Amino acid sequence: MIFNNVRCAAVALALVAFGAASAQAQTATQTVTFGVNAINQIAFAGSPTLTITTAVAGAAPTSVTDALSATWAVTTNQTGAKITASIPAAMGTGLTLSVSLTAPTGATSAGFQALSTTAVDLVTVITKQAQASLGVSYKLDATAAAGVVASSTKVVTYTITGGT
Amino acid sequence: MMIKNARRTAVALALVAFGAVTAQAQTQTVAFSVSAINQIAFTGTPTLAITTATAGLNPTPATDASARWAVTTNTNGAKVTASIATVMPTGLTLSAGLAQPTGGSTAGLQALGTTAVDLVTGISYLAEGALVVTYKLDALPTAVAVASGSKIVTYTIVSGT
Amino acid sequence: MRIASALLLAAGLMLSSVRSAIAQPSTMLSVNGTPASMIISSAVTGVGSMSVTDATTTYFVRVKNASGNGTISAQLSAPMPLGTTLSLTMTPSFGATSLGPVDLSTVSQAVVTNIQKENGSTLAMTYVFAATAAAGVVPTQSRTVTFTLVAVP
Repeated sequence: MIFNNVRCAAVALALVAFGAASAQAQTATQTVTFGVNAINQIAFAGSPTLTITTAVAGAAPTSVTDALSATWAVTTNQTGAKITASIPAAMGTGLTLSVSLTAPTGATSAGFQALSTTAVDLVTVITKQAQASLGVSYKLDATAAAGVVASSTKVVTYTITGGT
Repeated sequence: MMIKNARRTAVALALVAFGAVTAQAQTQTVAFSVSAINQIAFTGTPTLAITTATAGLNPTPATDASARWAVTTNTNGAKVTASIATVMPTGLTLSAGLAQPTGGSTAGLQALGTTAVDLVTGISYLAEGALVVTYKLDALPTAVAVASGSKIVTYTIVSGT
Repeated sequence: MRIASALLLAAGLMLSSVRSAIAQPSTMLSVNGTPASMIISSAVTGVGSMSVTDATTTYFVRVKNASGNGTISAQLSAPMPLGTTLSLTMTPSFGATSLGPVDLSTVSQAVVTNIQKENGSTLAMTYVFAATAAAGVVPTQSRTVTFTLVAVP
């Protein structure tokens, strides 16, 4: 009887001792869901100003260009996005407003394009890019027939169209 | 049943939105203006030499039509005048005439003095060059022989409206 | 007889304490809640990385052994798509050290270390899902994060 009791105690002691010496581990799990939608965003900064003031005698008034006042930025996570531009109403007779956008890496700029009410491609093949501080150049051409043009503004609308 | 349908609709909308081509527009305001522009330019080095006469008549005048002028104006009704700083020597008359640009009117050869004289008027909204400049030198028999001399003709374009 | 009784009593007490330990484990880790779907749908134009944060879930930790060697590690069930990262920060319990934010992968990485004796605390978790433009459009998908608490006495 005594021997059995001692054996039980020994077993109990062994159980406790065994439990106290080993590392304890616990696991848990959690499910995380994520995704990325198609993103096509552009932003423009700056207030460009174009003033034609002179001409070479015998030639049309001298065109002016502003390539310092404005910049643009783009983010797209698609392939083959493009930028177009348009103005809400045609320029006055004899006046032409053109714009050129510096292309982000890997994309293609169409150079100076005359603006009208019909959207025109400025930059194409923009693929999975996020770049800022890209150059925007505006140019104003005038014929003598345009006459004197008082200070005016034109709102240029740029649109990024996503690719695939 | 309604919950299932709503869920299916939400999934369908999500699929459509996910696959759709996205576009975004931004604007930029550009300010511009064109000032009044009136520019003229003259080229050439005309030379006038009176060397002969027909007996009984004044010395034969000399003319030179080698010079050219150009004009740009974006105003309506500009004009070009000319003058010289000091009068010609006694018995000599220097005249100038400008071919008119499109739509303008030329006054023909005009004697030049210290008072500006109109040569071309009614110049509107144009840019033209290579227009002929004609000079003429007249001399009276009383004019003192001049070995060589030069005169600066000052042309002025007066802006229109 | 008395010795045997004393031994029996001790054994009984020990058995009792073993039973108590099994009923209330000396280490415990659980995560509470499921993060909302982290869907990137916009960006700061021109900036290379886009991200979404979720800080709505918590974890519970208990470490009875006062060893200071407790560590919580985490790993993903599958790699993240190219150009994307899922990072995790777990607020450490008192005296512990947070290694966050930790970019999770299929390799188990420590997120919290030096876990001291902790009677039980519920602490914040913050996930950040980030993507570059180069990642392209990423269909909505899930990963299972497996957390492991190891406490060495």
